[in-house]
Amino acid sequence: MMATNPLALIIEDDPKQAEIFSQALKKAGFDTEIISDGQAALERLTGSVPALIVLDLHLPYVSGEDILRQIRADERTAHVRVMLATANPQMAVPLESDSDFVLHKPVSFTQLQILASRLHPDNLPA
Amino acid sequence: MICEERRPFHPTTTQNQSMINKPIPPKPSGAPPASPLARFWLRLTAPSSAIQNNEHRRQAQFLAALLVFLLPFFFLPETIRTLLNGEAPVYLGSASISLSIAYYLSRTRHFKWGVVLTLATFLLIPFTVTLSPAYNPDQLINTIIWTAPTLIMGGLLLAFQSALALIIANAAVMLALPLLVSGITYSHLTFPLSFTFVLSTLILVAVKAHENDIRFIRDQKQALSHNNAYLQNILESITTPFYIINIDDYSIELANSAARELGIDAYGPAATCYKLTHRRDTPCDGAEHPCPLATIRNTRQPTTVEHIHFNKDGQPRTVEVHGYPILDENGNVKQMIEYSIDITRRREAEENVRKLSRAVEQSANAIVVTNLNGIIEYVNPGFSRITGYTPQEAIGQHTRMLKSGYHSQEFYAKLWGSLSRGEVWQGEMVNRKKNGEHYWEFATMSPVKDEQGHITHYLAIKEDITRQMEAEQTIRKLSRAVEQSGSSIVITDLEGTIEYVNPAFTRVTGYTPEEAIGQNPRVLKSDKQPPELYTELWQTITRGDVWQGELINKKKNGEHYWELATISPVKNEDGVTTHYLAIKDDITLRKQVEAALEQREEDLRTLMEQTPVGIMTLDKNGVITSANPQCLQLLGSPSIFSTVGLNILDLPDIASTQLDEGFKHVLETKQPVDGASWYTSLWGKTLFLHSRLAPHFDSQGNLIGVIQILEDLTHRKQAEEALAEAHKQAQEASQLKTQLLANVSHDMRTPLGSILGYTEMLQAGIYGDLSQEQMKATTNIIDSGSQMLLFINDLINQAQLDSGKVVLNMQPFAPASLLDTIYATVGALAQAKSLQLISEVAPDLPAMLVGDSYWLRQILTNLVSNAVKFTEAGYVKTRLYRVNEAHWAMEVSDTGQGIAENDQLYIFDAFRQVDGAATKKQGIGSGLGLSIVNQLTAMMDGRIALTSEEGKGSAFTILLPIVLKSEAEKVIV
Repeated sequence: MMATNPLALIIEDDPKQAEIFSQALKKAGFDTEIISDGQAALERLTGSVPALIVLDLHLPYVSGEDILRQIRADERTAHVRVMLATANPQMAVPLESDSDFVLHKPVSFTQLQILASRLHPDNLPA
Repeated sequence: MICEERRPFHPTTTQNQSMINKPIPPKPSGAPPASPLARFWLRLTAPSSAIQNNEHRRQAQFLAALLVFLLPFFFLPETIRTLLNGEAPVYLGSASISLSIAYYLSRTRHFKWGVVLTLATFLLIPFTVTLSPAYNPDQLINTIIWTAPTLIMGGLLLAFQSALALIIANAAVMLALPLLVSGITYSHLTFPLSFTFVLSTLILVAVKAHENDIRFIRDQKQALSHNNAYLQNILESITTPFYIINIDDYSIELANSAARELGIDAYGPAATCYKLTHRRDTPCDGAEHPCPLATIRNTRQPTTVEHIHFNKDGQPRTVEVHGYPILDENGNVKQMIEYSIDITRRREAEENVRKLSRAVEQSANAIVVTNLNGIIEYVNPGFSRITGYTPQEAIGQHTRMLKSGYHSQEFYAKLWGSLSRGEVWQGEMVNRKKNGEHYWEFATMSPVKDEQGHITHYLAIKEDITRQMEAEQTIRKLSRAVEQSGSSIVITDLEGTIEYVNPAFTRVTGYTPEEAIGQNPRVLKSDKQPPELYTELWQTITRGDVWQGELINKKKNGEHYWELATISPVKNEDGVTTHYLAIKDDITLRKQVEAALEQREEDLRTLMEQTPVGIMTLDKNGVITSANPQCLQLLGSPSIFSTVGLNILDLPDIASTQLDEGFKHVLETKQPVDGASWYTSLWGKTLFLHSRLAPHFDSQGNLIGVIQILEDLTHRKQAEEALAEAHKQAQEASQLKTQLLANVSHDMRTPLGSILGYTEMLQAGIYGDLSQEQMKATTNIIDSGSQMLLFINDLINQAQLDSGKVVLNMQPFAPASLLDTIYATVGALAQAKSLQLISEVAPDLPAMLVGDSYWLRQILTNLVSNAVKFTEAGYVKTRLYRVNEAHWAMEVSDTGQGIAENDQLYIFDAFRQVDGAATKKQGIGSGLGLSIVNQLTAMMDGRIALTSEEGKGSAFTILLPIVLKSEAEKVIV
């Protein structure tokens, strides 16, 4: 079962929030990997390409905004589904077009689970 | 009247024997002889042209011929004899002289003397021989013999028609001589007889030839007489006097009946031209008229002159005299044909026309003649003088060129109507000159008719009456001025009796003209003025001077009024005063105004002294011209004298106050300038002064300087500075508060997120299944946490709205995306309450709209969370749809408790919740949600609609304008 689930990358510096994201995504059928700072996230993104990225905008070292720009600039990751999570929703408004969802913190566990399910490769149109 | 070709009259043409009193000599013979010898002979024998009697001419010619013919016969033998005898050629010489003279005479008018001289010569020469010393009695006989034929020749010369008789007589005498005179024998006679015989024969032949000549002439004369009769008839038939004058003695040579009727004896000795035509006894001296005779004598050309001749009744007549010269064959003027035509009538007519013309030309009035169409055919100088149009400019023009536009069309129609009916039109009219000026004229226009009574022209005689009209108008104007004058005008006689008052007088005093005229002005007199004033008035005007002064008078109704009166004597041409004229202005109002002005001035003075602001006036150079006490006090000036005269622009710290720039600005723009600054006066007083520099005008509106108004704001300034400091501190505090709020909300949301997240995970069984009690407890945690989260959100939103930081960020967005995130906020709560969340997007809603998606989401979240909060069972439905072309709506409906009608008015107020048991029971919410929705909707130009029924549910509808991307771009562009 482990090997068959698509990978969701959770880039979130708050471990509790990361845990909640992780549990919700697992429940939605994803394998999860948590990265807690921007610099590490950029490095990780040079590796295998995930199916979904949950990206906090407020991160140490490199901001979520720069990471999103990097994701969309790299043709390997340009197509990856991205859910933005932020405590300051106005910051996310200009980024809406480059993302699939914008989540306003605090994010409801159930809601995240529902939304993530929608982005599961099995549920997406081919 | 005048011949086409006027040639000198030659005598060869015609002669009229019957009309003449002296025959005109014809040419000596018919055709001129052809041979040069004959011509030479004719020239030798031609008689003088002065001999006019044909008979005499012939005699003279004969004598000349005889002398030329006979002289060789005499001189040749005589010369031979003289030479042979050796005698002195005395006889030859004397005879040559006397015969030459005789020949000469024979060719003049005095040819008879030639005859006498010839006879004497031939008679005396033989006898002179006897006077010789060598006298011989034979010579006497010789003389007698030779004298006989000489006598015969003499007789012949005197009466050559009796030539034959004389020859016979001569022969008889010769034959009788031997019988009568002893010593003479017939042998003596042989030679003289034979000589005489030959001579006689020659003479007879000559006489015979001469008679033939005469006969030829007579025939010719008869032929001519026919022509003469014809011409005579023509001349006789001419009714004008026709006559021929001899150049030499002015005598009339020929005259027709018209000339004869002038009353002279045609054949009398007094028949001269001057007698005939001028009734005078001496020739004209040409003083009055040139004498045609004298003219022709000089020029030899035909002439025409005008003379005064007397007619048969002795009355002077003006005649046109025509003179034609008659030339002889040598081209000399011999006679003159003269005829005269009576032009007296013509001259009189001409003179009349001239007189009329002069009258018209010199008339001071304008005279215009037009044709029936009104086209000008004649204008006189008077017209040009008045109108400025020269005849060349006027003639050919229509009279309407003078039209001034002053009169109506009907006026002109009437005028032309009268004229065309043949009536005379008379009236005054205004016309226009060439230079555009208008002038008045009195015009008399009359039709001009021909003999048949047809109108051929119109005649206008126009008098320029502009002066009179102007004078009239001036009088009218003066009269109107007096009548309409706002001043009372009164005219009295020398006793002061009123003769005239104008309406203003009535208006002021109340007395009508009927009441006033005949009265003395003292009816107006009030008792408010001393009698000396009136005495002085009368003294002044009776002296002939003008009096002016202010009077208090009394109206008819007893009211008093002030008037300013000017009373002047009116003098006639001789300077004698005949009337008095009073012009009076009611100055009651002025007096009141003056009093009011005085009061006002007093008020102003008080104001200036008492006002707490400093006021000073400056001239254009900045020099202080006045200052009020407060001003002195503000400046710390010890006195007005030490202040006035100072120049504010010279003050030491003027630059720091910017007063100098303000001063210049006021002078340039004439607009007031305000300024405030710290100011240290000359006397060391430092104050914060508000200074207003205002332009200072005189009564005519001319800028004369600047008024400076100074207000001491030192205390206020100090207070303001303190206030500004406090404000700055408050702002800093406010910023800190806002920052704090942001931090607090972030720091509260993050742990709250964890609380809710972990609780949800517990419920989701991540950490194992929960018991029923555990599930209920975790549900309560979620419920409370969610409420707290909403409360925090509301606080943050309201804080943002309050701080005025909310600026709508209009961007394209997908309306459907609004629904995605609201569940993140209220989903857990709804799930906890087992409420169904339904969302619906109408298909006709545009996929992309322009708006601030963040704040739209807040509106929706607030409405949905509100609905979830107040709904216990059922569902909460969110619907996005298009209302019409221009609007779309977000509708949130629920199946909750509903809102009472009374409360619907208040629910949008901040911090206010519906009062009522149900709400109290809930006890949740910040009370900010709907207020935030209301504020945001208004910012988006939207409207909120609420439909609710208690116990059944509520529906909130947010109506918003549709802004499409293309429209938004258009607006931005």
